[in-house]
Amino acid sequence: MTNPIDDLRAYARHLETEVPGEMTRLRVERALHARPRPRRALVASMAAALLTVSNVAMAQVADPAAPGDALYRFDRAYERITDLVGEGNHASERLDEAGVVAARGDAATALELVVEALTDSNGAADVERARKLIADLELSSNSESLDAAVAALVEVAKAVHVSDDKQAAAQLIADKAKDVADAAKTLKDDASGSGRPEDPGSQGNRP
Amino acid sequence: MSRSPHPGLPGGWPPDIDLVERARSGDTEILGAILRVAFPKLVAFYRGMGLPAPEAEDVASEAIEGMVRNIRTLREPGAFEGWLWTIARNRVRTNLRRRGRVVYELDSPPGSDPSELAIEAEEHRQIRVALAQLSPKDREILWLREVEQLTHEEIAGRIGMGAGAVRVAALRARRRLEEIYARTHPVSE
Repeated sequence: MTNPIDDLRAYARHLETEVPGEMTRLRVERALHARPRPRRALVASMAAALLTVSNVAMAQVADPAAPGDALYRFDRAYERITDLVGEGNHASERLDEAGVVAARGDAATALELVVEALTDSNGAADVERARKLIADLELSSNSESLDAAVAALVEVAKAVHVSDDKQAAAQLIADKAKDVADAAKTLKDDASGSGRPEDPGSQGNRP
Repeated sequence: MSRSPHPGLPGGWPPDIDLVERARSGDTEILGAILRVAFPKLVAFYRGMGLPAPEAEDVASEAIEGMVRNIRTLREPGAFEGWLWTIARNRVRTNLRRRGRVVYELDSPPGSDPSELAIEAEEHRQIRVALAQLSPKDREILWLREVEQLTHEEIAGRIGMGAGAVRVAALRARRRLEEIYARTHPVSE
C-alpha cells in the first residue's frame, strides 16, 4: 500500500500544475488592477439605471435581499457595478443581510456575514453595528449551531483586532464569544451525560 | 515553518517577511509575484475540498482579489500564511452560501464531475476516492497540515478550534485516510 500522505501531496502538486500559467497571470493581473475604472461614464450610467430598477424592486420587499432570496443575485451584481464606480465597501450591505438572516434565526450565517463585513471594513461605525448585532443575536439552543457561532465569533474578534482603535468593541465581542462557548459546553455536557469524555475533535472554541 | 523553493519567488514559499512587508507597503510587483504562486495553491485547495475546476478557479480569483484589497490589514508580515488561508476559507464559504448551498459543506466530493473522472480515470484516483470519504472538516485539516504544512496553532486560528483539538483532529483525519487506503487497497494488490 502506498503512503496516503505522499499521495495527497502528489495530488496537490498535480492540481497546482494543472492551473495554466496564462490563467494565473490573467487572474492575478485582474486582481491587482481591479480598482481602475477607465469607462467611468458608461459604468456610472449603468449603475444609475440599475439603481432605478433596484429602487423599484426594493419598494416591493420589506427587507434587503439576503442569501436565499430571489433578489440576492441581483444585489450582488449591482454591487459589482458600484465597485466599478468606486463605492467598493460592502460592509454595510453585509451587515444589513446579517440583520435579516439573524431575524430568521440563523445565527451562524449572520455571524459569517459579520465576518465578511469586517473583512471589508474596520470602520468604527461598521464595528459598532457589528457589535450591536452580535449582542442582540438570539442563539438557538442547538449545540451544532452554537459551535458554528463560536467559530464565527472568533473570526469576528480577529477581524476587529487588526484595527488599533477597536479594542473596546473587540473585548465585547470576545466576551460574547465566551458566553456562547460556555453555553455550548453546558449543552454538550447535558447531552453527553456525566462520565463520558468529550470528543476533543468536535468541541467548540475556547477563545 | 519549512520553506519550499519556488522559481517564481525568491526565497521560496511561504514568502519571506521582507517580501511580504514590501507587498504590504504598496509594491504591486512583489504582491503580484506572491499571488502568482498563491493562485494555483488556492485552486488546488478548493479542488481538493471538492469544488469542480471552474468553480475553484473563480473562488480562487475572488480570494486573491480580497487579498489585494485587504493587504494593508495584515499587521504582522510573519502572519501572512495564516492571513491568506483565513481569506481563502472565508471566500469559499461566502461563495457557497451565495449559491444557496450549505455553508462549509463542500458537498461535491472530489472527482464527482464525470468529465473530470474520465480525464483522470487512474491518475490520483486512489487519493481522490479516499478524500471523498472524509468529512469536509477532516479534508480541510489534513490539507492545511499535510500539504500546506501549517502548524497546529496556525490551523487553529483558521478554523476556530483550539490548537490541542486541531492536533487530535489532524491525527484522527490522517488515521482515517490510512484506514480508507487499507480498506480499498489491500497489500496484496
